[in-house]
Amino acid sequence: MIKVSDGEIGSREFFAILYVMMAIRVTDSTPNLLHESGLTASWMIPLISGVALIGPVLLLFRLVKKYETGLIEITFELTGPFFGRLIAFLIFLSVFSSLSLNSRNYADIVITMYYPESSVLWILAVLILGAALYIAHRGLEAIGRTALLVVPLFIVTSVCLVFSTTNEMNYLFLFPIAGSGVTEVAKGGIGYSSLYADVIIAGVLASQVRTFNAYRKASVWGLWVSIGKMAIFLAVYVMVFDFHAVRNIAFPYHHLTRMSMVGTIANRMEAVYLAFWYAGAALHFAAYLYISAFLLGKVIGYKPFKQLLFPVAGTAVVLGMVPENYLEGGPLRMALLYSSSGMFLLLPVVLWGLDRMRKREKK
Amino acid sequence: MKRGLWAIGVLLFVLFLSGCGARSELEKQAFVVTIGLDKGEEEHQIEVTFQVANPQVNTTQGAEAQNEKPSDTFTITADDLLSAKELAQSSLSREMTFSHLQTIIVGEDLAQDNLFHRIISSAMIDPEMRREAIMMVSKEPAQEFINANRPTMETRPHKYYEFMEDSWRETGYVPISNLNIFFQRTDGELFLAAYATAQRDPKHGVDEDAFLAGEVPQKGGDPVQIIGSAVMHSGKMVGKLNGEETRIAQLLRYHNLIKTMTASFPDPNNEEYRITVIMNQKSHTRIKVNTDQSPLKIEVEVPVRVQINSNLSLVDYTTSKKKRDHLKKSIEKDMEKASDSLIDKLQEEFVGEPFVWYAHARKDFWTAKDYVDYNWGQKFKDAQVDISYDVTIINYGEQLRPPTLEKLDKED
Repeated sequence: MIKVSDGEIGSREFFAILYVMMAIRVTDSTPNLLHESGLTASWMIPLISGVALIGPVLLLFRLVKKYETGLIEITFELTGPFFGRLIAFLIFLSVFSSLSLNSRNYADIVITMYYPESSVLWILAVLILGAALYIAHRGLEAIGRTALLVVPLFIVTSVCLVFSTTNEMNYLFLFPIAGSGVTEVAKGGIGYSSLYADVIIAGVLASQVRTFNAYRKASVWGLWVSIGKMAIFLAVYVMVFDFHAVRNIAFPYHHLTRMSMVGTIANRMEAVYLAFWYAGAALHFAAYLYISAFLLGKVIGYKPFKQLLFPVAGTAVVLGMVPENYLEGGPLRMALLYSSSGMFLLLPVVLWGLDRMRKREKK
Repeated sequence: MKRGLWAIGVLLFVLFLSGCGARSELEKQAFVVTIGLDKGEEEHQIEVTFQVANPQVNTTQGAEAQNEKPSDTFTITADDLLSAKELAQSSLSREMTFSHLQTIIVGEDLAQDNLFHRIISSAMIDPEMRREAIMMVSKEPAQEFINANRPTMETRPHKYYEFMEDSWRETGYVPISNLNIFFQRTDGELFLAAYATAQRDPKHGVDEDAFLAGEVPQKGGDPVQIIGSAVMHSGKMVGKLNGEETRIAQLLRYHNLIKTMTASFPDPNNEEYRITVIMNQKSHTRIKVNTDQSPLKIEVEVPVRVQINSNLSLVDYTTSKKKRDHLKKSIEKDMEKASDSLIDKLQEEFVGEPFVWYAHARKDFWTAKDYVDYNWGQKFKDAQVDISYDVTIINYGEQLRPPTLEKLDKED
């Protein structure tokens, strides 16, 4: 059945968007942060993050179901225009800074691992201003459809990558089981839960998903698939490189693709993975760009928010050029993740509380 | 709107341009397949030998390059690998790339030096270095080794090392030693690197496999011999294991990387002769580590499957169960003896073990810090190690009875 395009997306498209937003993190320098804090137990950190997110996500589902609209509209409704704008602005700030910091991170990966002679500006321009801006400009439906096309390929390549490196793994490297200690791991799990806060951020798009059930289903699947993928890859990194060495490897995913072998002949597989990864990165930033522009539109009360895409993308590229190298971006990113973790864990709780209070007042 | 679309269309073309940013033509690249590292004359300097493959040889284009050698070898003295690579460009017309680098050969002198760990670790920072590259230690300076290595069958150097590595998996005389494993074991665990030489110093009267590189009695052929292993501790070479010890080291690991190996044992039923068998492992070696005890206790049980393919004594095993059992027992005893003497050697001479037993010990610890504080290498020195073999003889060759000559038998 051919449906007339109505700008809305279904559960599969929404799942694909969540997947490109979250699951691609296994390929950048996120695993380093987690390995540093969890050592051999780093694979537990995403699982703990997932547990920490269950409550807020369930509360968000209740709110979305009740108000039948997106997160931002709910915020405006419950907190009034001033606080609504403030909260929207804070979310925008976190999404946007993550966009510009991560885009720089991705450009650094390309320069370090593949094309050392290219310029950062060039890659950022191609990635953000070229591919991502183009996809985002076509609207949410286009992002969803494109993501739906490539996400199955990502899943297949990830599975291939894990299987083609099993020879190099030793499961015993996952021991000592508690890694850096229980408290450290738990702290990491909660502190880094904003890595999956995209599931809450994507709540701003809830009104553009066809039905509430589709939204809920896609969110749940997007969350656990991304967390599962992160946990599996963290374990794989430790099993292949061991925990001493993995802490020194800047981009473990890209080292892993180099070790991937199919038989004895095809042993330079990284080019295949690079192509898929680049497509994934473009989609990731397209989703981020779209949401940034959407939020900025809400903050300044500007309806045709798509016109904001270009300035947002341009600013992200300019800001991405500021750090001298990826080490300077690292601490900023960590601070951002930690501070936004608190915000995203609390936001649904606060909104839910306000909702309850209002109900009581009415009575 | 139309104008906006047009602008975006133009931006799309930028995507195609990304292919040109770091473009490099095949023709303009020089593929380094082997690197040799040696100590330089000045302190803190190294001599780097590059073996650059000539991709034109042995291809369909070979006719155009009939008088070109299959590879070019030269040595540069510099502070580190990266600057040597840059300096090499002064004499090389093509741009050098490590993307097909497979083998790193380290001269024994440098391997025993404290400098080596710095050299190899800093080389790893270069993203072009691949962690699956094989590391070998050569008895003589690596540059002499590379220059002397002129295999007749494999004119193309990258094929030579690739095939050699494959054959290691069939013999077990040489450990599988890539850089990834090297960097896993820099914290007190021992790492075994293949040991090679192009110098001959044949030893006779040794048991079939207790050779070090260069000692195998061989006449003619390629001067290079790769057998045995160099023991590295904390990134520094501290000793050597011969072919036999290296094999046992492979058997004592949980993951045995060797497919099959051929070994000979004295025939228990006729001590004059030796019996040659093909061995492989039917299942993983069972390893039990108990860190609660002091001294540390390690129990290892190695299941081995044996095929008898040569029987010099011509003892008839098929008809006598007693003889068969006797043979089995004697193989087990022989291997246990050899393993015990390897363990003694390791405990006396080195700190740590190369069998990845430390990974099994880790199960006993709750946090990574506990494990690091336990100091596995030192504890292993006084460990009580129990090794037992479980031999199954699965066949006695294709002949039911040794093909003896009736007459000779009667005269005996």
